[in-house]
Amino acid sequence: MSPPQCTDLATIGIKSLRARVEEDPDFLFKYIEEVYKIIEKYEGVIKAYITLRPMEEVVREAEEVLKRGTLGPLGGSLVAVKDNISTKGIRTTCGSKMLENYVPPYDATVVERIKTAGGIIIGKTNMDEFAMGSTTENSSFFPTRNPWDLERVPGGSSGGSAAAVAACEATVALGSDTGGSIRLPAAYTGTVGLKPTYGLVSRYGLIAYASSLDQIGPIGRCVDDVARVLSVIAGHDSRDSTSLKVEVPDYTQFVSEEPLRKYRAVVIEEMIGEGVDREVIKVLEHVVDKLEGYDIEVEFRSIPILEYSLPAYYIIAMAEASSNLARYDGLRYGIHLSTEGLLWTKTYAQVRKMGFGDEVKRRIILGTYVLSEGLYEGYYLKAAKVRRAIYDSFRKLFSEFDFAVSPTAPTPPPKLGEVVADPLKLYSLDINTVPVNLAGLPAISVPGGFVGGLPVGIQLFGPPLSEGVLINVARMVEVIVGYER
Amino acid sequence: MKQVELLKKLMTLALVEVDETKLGGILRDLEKIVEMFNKILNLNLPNDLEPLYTTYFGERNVREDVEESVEESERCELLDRELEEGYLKAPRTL
Repeated sequence: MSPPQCTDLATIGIKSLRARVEEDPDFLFKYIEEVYKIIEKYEGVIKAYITLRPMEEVVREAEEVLKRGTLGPLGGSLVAVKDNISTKGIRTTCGSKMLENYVPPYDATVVERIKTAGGIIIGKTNMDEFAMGSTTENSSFFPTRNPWDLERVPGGSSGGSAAAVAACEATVALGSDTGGSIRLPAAYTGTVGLKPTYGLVSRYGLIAYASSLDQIGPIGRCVDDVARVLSVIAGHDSRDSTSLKVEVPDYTQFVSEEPLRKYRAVVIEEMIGEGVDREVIKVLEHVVDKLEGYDIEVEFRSIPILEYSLPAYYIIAMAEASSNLARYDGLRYGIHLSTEGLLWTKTYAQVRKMGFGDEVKRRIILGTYVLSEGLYEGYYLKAAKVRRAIYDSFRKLFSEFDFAVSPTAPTPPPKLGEVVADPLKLYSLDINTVPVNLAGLPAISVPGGFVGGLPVGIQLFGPPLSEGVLINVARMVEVIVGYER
Repeated sequence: MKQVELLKKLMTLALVEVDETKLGGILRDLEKIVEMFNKILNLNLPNDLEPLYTTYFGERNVREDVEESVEESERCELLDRELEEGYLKAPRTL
């Protein structure tokens, strides 16, 4: 099943695209033309892109890729990039008026690697401003619509990336995930989204929201595409001080329809508790039943501390945001105002009033609040301790199990305007995704079924650097569900 | 966080301004969120539990502190700002 925008030609994945282009280089131009036809027809409604590169520019770059003599692992794939990832010479707004005219003078490491691997950047995708949101309605420019149902949100904050991939307006996309911002949109748009282990993918060139939680990761229409992009972007980078020095495997070796070894899985009771839609749980139960058919043992466990993950996550994220966003003062970054005759406090406050939207202001104010004298111990320090308790609980859990399985989101995608006005409703969409970021673990969201014609995502997560296991099991879920695009 | 005065003080500290007409709505939202935060205040955790600030446990990974040359024109383009004797013009501090 695909959303109505897709055609057979545009649905093609990286592996087939590369093979077809190798056979007939002109196929790449046919493919590009087809994708732009879809964009021309549907982008006006879906609004996945903030900046779309003209087709002529993309075609010229495709010619360059073909001239290289070797196609590279991405073989001319069209890669949509979330607008908080720096792209040399291409406007990077972070979904904010504050950076509306910012053109980075350098590429993020992930973008450099995509280009070297034969990927072509097609455009920059819409997002919640500074990645603060779960629906892409907090973009300063416009909301993005879900290709499956145009009255619904695509999730966020990487909603533009997920919508572009789901609607076949790109081959694959890059998103960033601070508390679920890759996985939630993937779940809502019937795509596959992977949040890597903290440190596996360089954050150099990613505009920071909450640095101890942010990670860049791929979104694709199938597990194979996600594995291919991850193989390209993962690996040590000396320009990111939190980049892990580990050997990166070719993740496509894990794309197998059968378990590559004997697995033990766990369902965490708190992740299917209060607030999780009954129909969503049924989708999970169906997938779990089928996984047991692959001789995977599935057990249930309770981790009571997870009840505190949402407040702990938001306290930490907002505290880090209030510090990270201090650089938007109109002097270093942001809207330029005349400084004549004004005190620096007034100038900075004016710039930030004009440049930031309400949600960003709310988070900066709250970040300042939880870090203020007399409150720091009760909020920020306590949240950091809750984070430790969650980290320790997962460490213990994964000494016994290979991976955990849960619904990615508690409900199918909400309608536009349904949750954005109530911050608590909005934040609760992240209930199952934030614990993973707090512990720095890898996680993948893969389509698990449908409720009322809308896609439902299944989240798989495991111990650090278990991406291979997650890709293997996610591929099995694709086969179980029969949802292969 | 119940008073508008506290909100205004926080806004001053955070260098963020909000339209007066929006203050009431923002205050209501912030109160809701702080109530959610308050859930952790009464949580009992072991006394010796260390806070966790990062999940990066790799080796120290810091670049050599070597100055890179940046062309003046590139600097101007990057910042889109007028320079005075090679320095950015900043607002006054006093």
